[in-house]
Amino acid sequence: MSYDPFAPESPVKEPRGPSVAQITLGAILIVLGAAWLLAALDIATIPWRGLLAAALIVVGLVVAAMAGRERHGGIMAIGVILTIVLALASTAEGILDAPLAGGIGERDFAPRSFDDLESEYRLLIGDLDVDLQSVTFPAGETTVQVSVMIGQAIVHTPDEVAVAVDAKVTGGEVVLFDQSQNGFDVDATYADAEYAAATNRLRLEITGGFGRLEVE
Amino acid sequence: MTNDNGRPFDRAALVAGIVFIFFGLMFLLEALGAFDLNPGQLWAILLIGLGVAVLFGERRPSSRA
Repeated sequence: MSYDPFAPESPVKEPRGPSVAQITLGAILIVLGAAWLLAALDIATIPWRGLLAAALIVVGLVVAAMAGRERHGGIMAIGVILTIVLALASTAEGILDAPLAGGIGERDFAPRSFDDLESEYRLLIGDLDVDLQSVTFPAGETTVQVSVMIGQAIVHTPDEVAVAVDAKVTGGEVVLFDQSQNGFDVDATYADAEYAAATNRLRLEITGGFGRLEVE
Repeated sequence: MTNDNGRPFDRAALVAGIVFIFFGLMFLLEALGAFDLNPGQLWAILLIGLGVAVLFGERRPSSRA
């Protein structure tokens, strides 16, 4: 190919700014990334399903608003992916007896007083250990919910409180003090003999998808 | 029908956007505990949404002469 100094110059294309789809996609990725970072640093608990559902609404608004203005293949694909992820999450929660909440890994909780006690302890995947032995429970019934989607959850209860437990696991083993059940759709209950008449009562609602639940 | 850019109005995109908004609201309300959907109900609604998108989405012109 030879160089022709008299050939007309090719038109210079002006740089185009990002499209609405790119801006939307970028904003969604930044928000999801920031939320993930906050969760990974244990700074905040992120309501993932609500956040993803809000992202899907934004995607829907952008796709509808852009009809006929710009190409929208990428943002449409994000909408389809978000819909599938949310549907699978909802289905998993419906089939497995535990909510999709909490993080991944090993979590140990040992509240030192009733004020430190939380009403829910949740883990998505991993080992969850909740030690309530340092807690002095007040008069009346206190309910604590514990769940693990895949993995193991162990709850240690103090001797000074009457305990009742409702435990469900989709597949795995439930050990409530000296009684044990395993298999699929295990639904186990336990209550101290004096539970109904006791002054200080602790009710544990413990659920799992697949794995092992233990109360001791 | 075209707009200012000369690009034809994309009815499929409009329908898809509306369906995404509907699903987003449904999942958001479910996450907030406004109602519970069992898996059967959920996938039936998704199937209906897919049907609406297919039914009301614009047919692409055939590339054949």
